[in-house]
Amino acid sequence: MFEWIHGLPLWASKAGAMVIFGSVLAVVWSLPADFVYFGAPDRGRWRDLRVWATILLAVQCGIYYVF
Amino acid sequence: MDNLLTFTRTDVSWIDLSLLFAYLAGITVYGYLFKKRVHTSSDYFLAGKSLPWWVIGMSIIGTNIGSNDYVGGAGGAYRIGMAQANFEWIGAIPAMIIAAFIFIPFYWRAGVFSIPEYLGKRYSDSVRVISALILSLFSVLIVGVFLWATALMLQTYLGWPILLSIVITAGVVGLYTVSGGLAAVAYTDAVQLVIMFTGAVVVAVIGIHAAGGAVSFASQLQERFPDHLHTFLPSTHGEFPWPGVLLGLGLVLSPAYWCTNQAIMQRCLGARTEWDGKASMMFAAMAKTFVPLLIVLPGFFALLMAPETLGVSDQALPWVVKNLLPPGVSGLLFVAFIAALQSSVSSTLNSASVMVTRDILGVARKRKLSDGEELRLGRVITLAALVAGIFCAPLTAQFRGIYVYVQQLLSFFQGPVFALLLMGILFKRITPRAGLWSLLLGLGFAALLGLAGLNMLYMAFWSFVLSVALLFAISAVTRPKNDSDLENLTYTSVVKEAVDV
Repeated sequence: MFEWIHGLPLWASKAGAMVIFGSVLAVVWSLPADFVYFGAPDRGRWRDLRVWATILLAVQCGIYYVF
Repeated sequence: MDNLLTFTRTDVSWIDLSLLFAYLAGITVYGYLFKKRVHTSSDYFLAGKSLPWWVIGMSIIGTNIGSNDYVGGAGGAYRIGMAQANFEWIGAIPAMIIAAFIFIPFYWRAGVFSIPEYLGKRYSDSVRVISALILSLFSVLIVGVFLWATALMLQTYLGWPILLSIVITAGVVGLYTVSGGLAAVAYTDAVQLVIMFTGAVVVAVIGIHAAGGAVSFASQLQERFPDHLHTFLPSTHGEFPWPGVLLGLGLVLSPAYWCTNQAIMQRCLGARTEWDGKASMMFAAMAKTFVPLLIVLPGFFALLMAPETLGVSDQALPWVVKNLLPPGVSGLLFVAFIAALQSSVSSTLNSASVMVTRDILGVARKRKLSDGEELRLGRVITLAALVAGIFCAPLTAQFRGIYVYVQQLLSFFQGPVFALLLMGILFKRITPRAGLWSLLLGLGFAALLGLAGLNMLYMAFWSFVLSVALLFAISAVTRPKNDSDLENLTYTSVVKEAVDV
């Protein structure tokens, strides 16, 4: 079923991983701030969960780039 | 199997035993104290919607890391190397972020107790009952897996018979789970996570020191086992080919697990605010980044230092505990291991209880249960699920690796269930009838693929694809729900409400 993929080089796997991380980041930053902060007691910068997501995904990109 | 019933003599130190018994007594009493907080079924199943984000986040990881991760994860790292960490990184972090931003808000605002209840509101009672049956059955089997993994460890380390080990561990965890409900589960999970990470860090330091320091450890791995340092394995790999990891694990299995797993989501439903629910999953993702410290490193230590190849890869962690760690430290890791087991079992039991009580029996009964009856029934079901898990535990021995067994179980149903949730949230046009048929046909298709011997990662992917296709095809010729029935259940209604506020 996936025979055509067997011909791809191993670096394509890392590229695929980066596409997944980038897509998630794009989804996160497409959400309105009001939606992200909904229910929060204040709108402090540290409560912006999009920033949390960016840090997390940056770490993942680093790991998959190295290994 | 002789070790099922007989004691074996081991040279475990009194320090380790004291640590173990002190922990067991402490956590049981701490968990049992939460019984006083339980007055209603909402207190029992959702901790009265009072949990802060950091407790839930720690509880999520405590629930997620089970004894199967310790034993099976270390075994996987021993066998295939760093690729085992894919389950913690690409097979978790993106999905956890999606769960936080896309799924949790809908579940929380819908005011449901469980994922099947959400499916019931979005689709129909039939979908609710079928999904609850599947997820409950999985919960019981997974409790069996956790118990078996712990018993394997107890047998290797203390020499206790496997059956006795299963009964003792089940008895301890059952006491506070049955009495204290979700609050007991969540707060004990938080304590257990601290113990688990402390144990992992200490083991990492000792193991790296035994290997001659960090530089020596890395260079030995590089020289002797270079293939173990890659996150992705060739596409021809029998167990974890990289296309399967990206498409099956990354795009389907992982989001399906993190967005639909009742044991994980239940504590998010108990969050005090929607923001706490979302933040809890993000906090858990941060902790998850470091989980390979717990599971991969011990596998590497066994790889480098075991004098001969281990017959069974799941023996990697027991080998490290027995041969590498001094008294006191081995006890600490052992306590961490038991903590992982307890947090996973308690959460799974609690979630199975809510699904059986409310989503199966609650729907099947003509008369609605009173709150007191529901609370009592919930406790009985929790106990029954534990007993069923004890009987399922020996099944785990039939599989080559504990971790693979769990993933195989998941891959049978996660594709279709995830398709229903994702498409149901994103598209108002998806109809109740489409949901029911896509679920049934998707499950049947996954079973056929499994019987045909297809790799589990591809199985999850293709059953997801078929279910999505069926959802749209059947929705095109059947009638959707009214907008008023879908309030707070679909993406457009929830995002619009947040922006309007």
